Amino acid sequence: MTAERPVTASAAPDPVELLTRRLQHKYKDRICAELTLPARPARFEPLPLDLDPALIQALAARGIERLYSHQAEAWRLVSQGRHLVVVTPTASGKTLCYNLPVLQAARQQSGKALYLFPTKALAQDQVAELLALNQAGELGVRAFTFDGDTPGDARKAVRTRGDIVVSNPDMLHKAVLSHHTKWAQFFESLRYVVIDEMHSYRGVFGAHVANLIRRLQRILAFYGARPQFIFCSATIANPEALAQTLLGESVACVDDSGAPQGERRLLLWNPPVINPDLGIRASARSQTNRVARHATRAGLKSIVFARSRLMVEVLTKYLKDVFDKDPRRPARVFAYRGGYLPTQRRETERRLRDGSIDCVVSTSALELGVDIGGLDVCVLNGYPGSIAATWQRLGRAGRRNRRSLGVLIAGSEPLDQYIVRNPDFFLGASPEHARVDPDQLLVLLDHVRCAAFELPFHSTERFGDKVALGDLLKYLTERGVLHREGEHWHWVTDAYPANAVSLRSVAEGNFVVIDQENDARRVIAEVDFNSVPDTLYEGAIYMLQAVPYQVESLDWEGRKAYVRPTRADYYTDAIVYTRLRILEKFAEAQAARSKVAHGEVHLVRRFAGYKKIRYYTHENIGYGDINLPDQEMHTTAVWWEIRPGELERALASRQMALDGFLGAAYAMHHVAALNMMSEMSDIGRAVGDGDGRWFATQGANGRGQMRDVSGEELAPDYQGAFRPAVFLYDNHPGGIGLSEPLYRQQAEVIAGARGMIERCDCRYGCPSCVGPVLASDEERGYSPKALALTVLGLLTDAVTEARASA
Amino acid sequence: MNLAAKLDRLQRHSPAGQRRDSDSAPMRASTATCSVERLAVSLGASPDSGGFVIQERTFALDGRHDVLPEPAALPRLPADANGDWVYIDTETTGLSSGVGNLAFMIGVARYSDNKTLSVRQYLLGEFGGEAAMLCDLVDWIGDRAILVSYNGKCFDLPLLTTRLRLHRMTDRLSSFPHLDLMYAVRRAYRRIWPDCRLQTVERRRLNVRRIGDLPGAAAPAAWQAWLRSGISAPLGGVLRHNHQDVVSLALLHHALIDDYAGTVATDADHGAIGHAWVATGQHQRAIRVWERGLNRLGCTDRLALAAAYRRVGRWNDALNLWHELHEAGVTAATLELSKYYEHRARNYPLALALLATCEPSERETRAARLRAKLRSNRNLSFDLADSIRGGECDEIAGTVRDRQTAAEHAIAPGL
Repeated sequence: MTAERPVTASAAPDPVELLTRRLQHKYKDRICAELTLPARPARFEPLPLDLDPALIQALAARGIERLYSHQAEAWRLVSQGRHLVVVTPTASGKTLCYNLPVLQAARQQSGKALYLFPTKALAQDQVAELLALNQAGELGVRAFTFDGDTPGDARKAVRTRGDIVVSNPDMLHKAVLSHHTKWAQFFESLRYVVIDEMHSYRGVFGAHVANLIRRLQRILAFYGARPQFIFCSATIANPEALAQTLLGESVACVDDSGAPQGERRLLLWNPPVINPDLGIRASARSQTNRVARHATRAGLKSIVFARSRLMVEVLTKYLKDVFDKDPRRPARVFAYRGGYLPTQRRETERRLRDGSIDCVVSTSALELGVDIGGLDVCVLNGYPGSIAATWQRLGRAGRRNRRSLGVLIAGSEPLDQYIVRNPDFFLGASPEHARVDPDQLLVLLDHVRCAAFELPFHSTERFGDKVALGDLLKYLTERGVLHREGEHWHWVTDAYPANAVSLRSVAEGNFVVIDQENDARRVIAEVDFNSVPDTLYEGAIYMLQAVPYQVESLDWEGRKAYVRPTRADYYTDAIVYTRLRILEKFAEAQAARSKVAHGEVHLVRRFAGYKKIRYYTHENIGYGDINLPDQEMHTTAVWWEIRPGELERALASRQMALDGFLGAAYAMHHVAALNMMSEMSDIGRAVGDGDGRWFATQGANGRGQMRDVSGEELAPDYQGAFRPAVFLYDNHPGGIGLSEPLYRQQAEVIAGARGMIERCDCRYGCPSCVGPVLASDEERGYSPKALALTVLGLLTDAVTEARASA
Repeated sequence: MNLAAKLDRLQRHSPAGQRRDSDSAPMRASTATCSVERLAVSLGASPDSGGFVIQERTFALDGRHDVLPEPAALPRLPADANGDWVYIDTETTGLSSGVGNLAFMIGVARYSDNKTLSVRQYLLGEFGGEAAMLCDLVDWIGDRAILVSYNGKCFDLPLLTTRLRLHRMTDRLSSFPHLDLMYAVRRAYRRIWPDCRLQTVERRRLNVRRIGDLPGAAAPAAWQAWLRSGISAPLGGVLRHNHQDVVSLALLHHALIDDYAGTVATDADHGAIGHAWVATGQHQRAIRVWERGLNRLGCTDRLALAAAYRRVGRWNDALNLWHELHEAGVTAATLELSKYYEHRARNYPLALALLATCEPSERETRAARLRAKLRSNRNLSFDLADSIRGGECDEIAGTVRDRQTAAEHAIAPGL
């Protein structure tokens, strides 16, 4: 929040510039594109005339004598009584946009404010900052955090004495709204609701938060309060629309930052091809490692973003092997990711701020607004999956108005390759839309339930405007949850509904990882429910700060994994089979040779086993079994089928068809993610038949395999009817509204997938188009690339039809 | 598309959905009329036009309870608390906290004379009657009341406060003095009984036996059965249960007063009760209770009793207890003795000798101070100071009991 002076060019050679030049010179052939974002000077405006003198003093004490233009604009809009969304880069003084009106209201009208942050850590940072400003100006404003750590006896003081209460959505959901009468005094004088890090409220979490805001507004209406909402967000394409969807009212937008920015360089880097036949490039991991080593040797502070927790650990190990060989000296390289204990994470953040860490390797966990001070270099190991996330991560370097360098290292995945080969697409593209469907039925029903507990529903009320509230109330009444009496619906059971609803995911309960070395029982990490099947199966190597532990047993009911340090020279990777059954068709388009539909599906994920992969060589050195229950999900999907006769006419064998479908699905999945502007993990893919009788998977030899319900391999030619389909499904329980727009855009998906495969440099198929190809074409006698194109050709004619009917 | 069918299917595969509502299959409300009149008739009570039913009865307390309780007879009520005793107990739709729970039955009782309780029970016939019921209740309780409940501070009263706020009514209830008997019971019986539920209290202390009682946990279901299907019989059971709860409150109130006065022989924990009185500054009451249960008091309680003796000036009784404990090896008592001989008897050599067996943390500064006092007193002709030289501590500590008499004689009583 401090007002910084614009950088003045200094005569000494800038170390970031030197590193950039060295990389450009040495790795000319690997750098596909460069971008320079020029330094931007600050634009200031004088402090508003109606600003409280004590606040002026407080700002002066913090070295602020004028505002950036966007802060002044925010002040004007808030003064006009508008709801607001502020979208400006990291470290542009966003928080002052809401702290100023909030502090002014607290001082002049005893107006209260509620701040919501997605995580506890961010909330605590925020209170620290408020307190600093408060102390600087002796403002006498009381700000408290209210979260799971707030002791019971302090809660009453927070409710009755707090001018600003800083909390998180989960707390509002579970502890505040269901006890709103205790907060009556607070709600009656509530003037502002501040929702920071708004971009994280998308997908399922966003749907929950939108409904939570609906519930909050019902309660506020009961107390006669109409506070203004101020949202803050990292850059996304549709901040205004997202804020309006979350709030259900019109919101003004401030997105023209007046904060200064140092010059930023960006290099797009493609690893060199090492096997032209198979189209195999050197791994992104090796290149990331190389760039991070250069940066650290040049004395620069760097942050490396990896796409998975596993990759964070592998990269950290490699970098530690270079820089932290001597155990007597303080460590220079650290890992940071979800799953570490909060104290470990706070410690790493502190070290980052005081500059005692030279290189931190992180997942998206550090993408959020945790204050980590200024870094010089940001290395992205692979495309983060979205343009918004890419810029957000790159923004972690160069915060303090200094020159900075970002390097995006492409992996072999089609999206990565697409981006480095079409740099203009990436450099010119607007960031993604954050999608949220507040009327997703399961989520909506959960919140109607909670809302009815909080206040009886009246027949004239609305809750969102897409699904008829009356139908939901009737449903809950038939289930004995509500009781209708005249025009009111009352809560009638003895349950406490908020406890049964988790905002973060459908499944609940984190697992703790327990180290039982030397018969001790030490909790070393926490893992969220959804990641457990992939990471904590018995036999898995679980990495923590690059130290490998082996999982000895997993207590599924007790939510515990028992591990022991190991010296294994390999890591493990789970093999997952996905099977789908069609439940209901919403819409279908038929053509002469193929058809496409979208509807509801039942999905089962089975964890079949795991591979052991040796460090450095990355060879597969064995398999193990995973003994876990299947994970079930009910969601929406789009699927493509080819009429059996057509398929047999075009392809000589069922084996070829399987390979063609798997290759086509691989490309379609990536293009869909790109077209939908969503992350790869939001969409899932599967190949199989629509009755869930069999599904296809790629075997160790690179060939497609047909497996039955229990995972047993089938011989394709000895099965009855053979009607393979490509499924692209919404990878969230109940769906978050991705499949319908995907159905409408299927022409682009098929055409894009064809284009991606046709334009690929490889001869027979590669990870950048149809997926990894392990066996050579000569050996197999055909090209998976050609097969995928054949399948896509057959699918093309369905596309035009569907478009007409949509 | 049929929304209900779709929701059913969606919920089936969601882990959270499987737990919720799994026991309640789709149900249809009965066509029977759920009128408040019918409810009143079937329960033999009188309907109120506001959507609730009132049942009034009197209850004669047995012969031993013929004086109204004094507010000061139990600790923890404000000293100036005065008003009419009002016993209160609710039956609610759920046991969790949160605004969605309401009290569908409220039992209250007050004394109509010294021996007779007048019990009034409210039963809600429909949600719409709640505001009128609460209004009537608040009127009946009146302006000057002392509420008596069992766990009402954490449960019943906050719940009623919440409901009053929801109906935008002034909350007079939470301004009344409130005696929650559960705390008094817990203090007196926590170390004696396996638990302190009201039913346990009734059985072990009040000699109340409930026959054919509907368990409290079944109450919500009884009200739901009435709302959904017009079945009123189980509500009759809840009325009887609640009636007994309220009457038991009055009986328990009297019983606890006896326990806390130390006037009757019970298995109450006299040590803990004495501490409760000390905490409110009432040392005489504490002494009475402790003396009553003296042979069951542990070492800490005896030390506390000695401290209470000292506090009220009963030095002989205090000394006797301290000596007894000192000989049993309780160093805290030895320290008290040393303090006594230093500050009160001014027998510094004896005080110093006693310190030798005290905890080291206490010893050093005290011993130094005593030696200084001894040095400055050497000029004064103090018999005992002259007769005892340093280095003979063991002997002195061993013979302290003999010296005690001498010390007492040396100092005029009442100093």
